[in-house]
Amino acid sequence: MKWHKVELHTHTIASDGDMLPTDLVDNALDRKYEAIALTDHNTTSSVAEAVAYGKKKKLIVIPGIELTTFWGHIVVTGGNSHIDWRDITLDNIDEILKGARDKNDLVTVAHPKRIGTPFCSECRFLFKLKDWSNVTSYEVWSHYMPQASFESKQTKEEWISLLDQGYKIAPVYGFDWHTRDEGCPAIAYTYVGVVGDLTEEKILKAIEKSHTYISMGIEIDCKAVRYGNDYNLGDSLPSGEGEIVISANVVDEYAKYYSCEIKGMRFYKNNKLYLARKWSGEKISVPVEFDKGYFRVELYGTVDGIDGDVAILSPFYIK
Amino acid sequence: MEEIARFDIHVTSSDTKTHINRSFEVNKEYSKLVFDVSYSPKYLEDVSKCMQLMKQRIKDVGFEEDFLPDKELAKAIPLANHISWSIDSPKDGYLGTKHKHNPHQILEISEEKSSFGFMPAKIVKGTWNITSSMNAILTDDVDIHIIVSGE
Repeated sequence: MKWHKVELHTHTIASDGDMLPTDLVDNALDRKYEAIALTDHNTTSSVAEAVAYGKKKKLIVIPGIELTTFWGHIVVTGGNSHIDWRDITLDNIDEILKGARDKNDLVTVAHPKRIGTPFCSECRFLFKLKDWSNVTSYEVWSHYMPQASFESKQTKEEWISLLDQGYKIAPVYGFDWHTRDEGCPAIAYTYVGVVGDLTEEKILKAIEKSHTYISMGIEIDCKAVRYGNDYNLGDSLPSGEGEIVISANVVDEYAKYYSCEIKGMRFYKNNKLYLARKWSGEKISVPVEFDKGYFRVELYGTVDGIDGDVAILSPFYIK
Repeated sequence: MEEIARFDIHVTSSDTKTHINRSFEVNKEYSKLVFDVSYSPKYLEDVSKCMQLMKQRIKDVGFEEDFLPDKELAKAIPLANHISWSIDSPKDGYLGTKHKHNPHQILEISEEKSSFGFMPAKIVKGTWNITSSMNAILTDDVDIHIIVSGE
């Protein structure tokens, strides 16, 4: 499996961004994204132009929309469902999201713990979902300096509580990119893992299967080994004795702009800390007795002098 | 340009998070429809009310009290109302939404090219609709004006 940098939450002049669809593609290439999703607020009017220009410039542009409702924002990606945001209510949200999933679109909860009104018109997720199984992905991180914000603390808590309830939801970073130079170069990325050539279909499938991690300039190779078989992030594996093998390095290009130091990593068996290890810079192997539930890894460290999580990995799911 | 319809709508802060639909008949096949949409006031200028709204929200969402000190909160003043606009055609249905923060906008729909945010659409005869969506109404009152013209 190879890991690719993507940005799944972007805007153009069709909503409140300042980039033409063609500018978005050019600027995404400058930022070294390997794919983006175009997710304007409540409109897809820029999508066709961005997709066509992306093909010409060899950047995958995934059709999407940010359903910008009165009770929170939801990114729907894939371009198969055509939802009129005005139809969404507190009562029918589960049905609407199920409809999107039935059409194989991804459903991502966007910046769920942003402060919201009156600072921005309801960008905090206030829906009380009855069924989170219609949610494929969750912006555990959003916007700037995600390692240190109050928002990230709350999003991480909610994402973990969803894992504890048995939901399989991929962690993603949503920069929520509106203007060309905003947050440039990118402070964090979502990495998606695919086998073979990168395509739109494979990206969507990778997120659906939780083959993701989010990081601040760190490339990670992490697998679980059980009965001699290797498992990728997001995979399911049988319980029992095995190991986690992990290596990580700060990307040179990222280090030109941001000072990033990995200090250590934490391993969690379900929601309990299993092991914390200081980072030596070497590939490490950790013996684990995998218990039913999930097993996940996060890296902590410093970016530009601010401490916090510097990478959060999708869990391995233990049967 | 011929004026087709004109709507004056008064809303209050209790209308926040509601949609207000206005339909109108188009009796000719124009080459373009133009919507002149505006609302006022844009901003809540009352400093003490702004501070109260922001502090209440910080408390409600469980952020630490020192999330933003008063000096930082003051930078967010004035707070803003936000209304977005959606248009439906009798032939093509939902054409899109304008989710910009400018309180005065000109929205155009035509078969060749529509304003950013809307799909192109032929101007057919029949009942059209414009929705004013109250994303955030922070002031006590807001007046909305919509003028629809055909060209």
